[in-house]
Amino acid sequence: MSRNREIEAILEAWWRLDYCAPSESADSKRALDQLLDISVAKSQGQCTREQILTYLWPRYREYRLEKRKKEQVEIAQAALKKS
Amino acid sequence: MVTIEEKRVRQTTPAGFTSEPPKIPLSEVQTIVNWIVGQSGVSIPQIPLSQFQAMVNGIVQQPGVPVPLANALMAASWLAEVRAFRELEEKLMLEGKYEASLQDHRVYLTDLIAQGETVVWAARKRGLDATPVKFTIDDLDSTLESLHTTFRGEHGPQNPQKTNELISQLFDVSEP
Repeated sequence: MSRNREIEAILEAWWRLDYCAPSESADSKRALDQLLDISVAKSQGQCTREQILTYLWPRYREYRLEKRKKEQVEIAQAALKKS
Repeated sequence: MVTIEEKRVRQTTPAGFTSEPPKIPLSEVQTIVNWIVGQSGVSIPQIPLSQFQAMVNGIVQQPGVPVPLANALMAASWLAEVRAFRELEEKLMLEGKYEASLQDHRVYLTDLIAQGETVVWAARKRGLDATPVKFTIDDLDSTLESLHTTFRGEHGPQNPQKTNELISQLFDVSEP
């Protein structure tokens, strides 16, 4: 599934919020909200942050899975290099 | 009837959304563990979440523990469970078992959100001792909001089609 840069930025910020250290949650949420507010402003108030996140939910699930799979590959490659 | 205080220290068992006992990376609980056991430089590879939560519950139930400190420990316990929940979600996704687990996911997430609401409420009402932890009430609130977002995305109502069409135009999804 192709993605554009705006969506990619939101997905990455969303992922950071879900996986950051607890002490970084508030800052991560602010960063995500700022990105969402750009789109809300473009819609001239016709959609909300929550509706955008709901729209992007399937893509976010895929994004999380891709990130984890990529991390596993990197771990496996690092382990191979060591052995 | 269960009081707010009883809920504060209750043990919760996720309804079926479990595979093996989740573990907490040491980096996430080192500060708390060192403070609790009064030792420094102790090397503990990982401790099971249930053991950490039992430890916290044992401490907060002691008479004389200041409420803001008890709130901080309960919040740390809740945050550890949130992290374990996220890890479990991914594990099930990787194993291709996530869709089949959605009913359990809904129940577990509902319970986690309810715990988080209590944690945030207690912290706002009676304080959060930041000494042993590095997070604030705003951090807790943001984490709670992220769980609400997960619930809305996975189990909540879908957008009207018109809204989705509008949003897709905002992003111009034809652009790579």
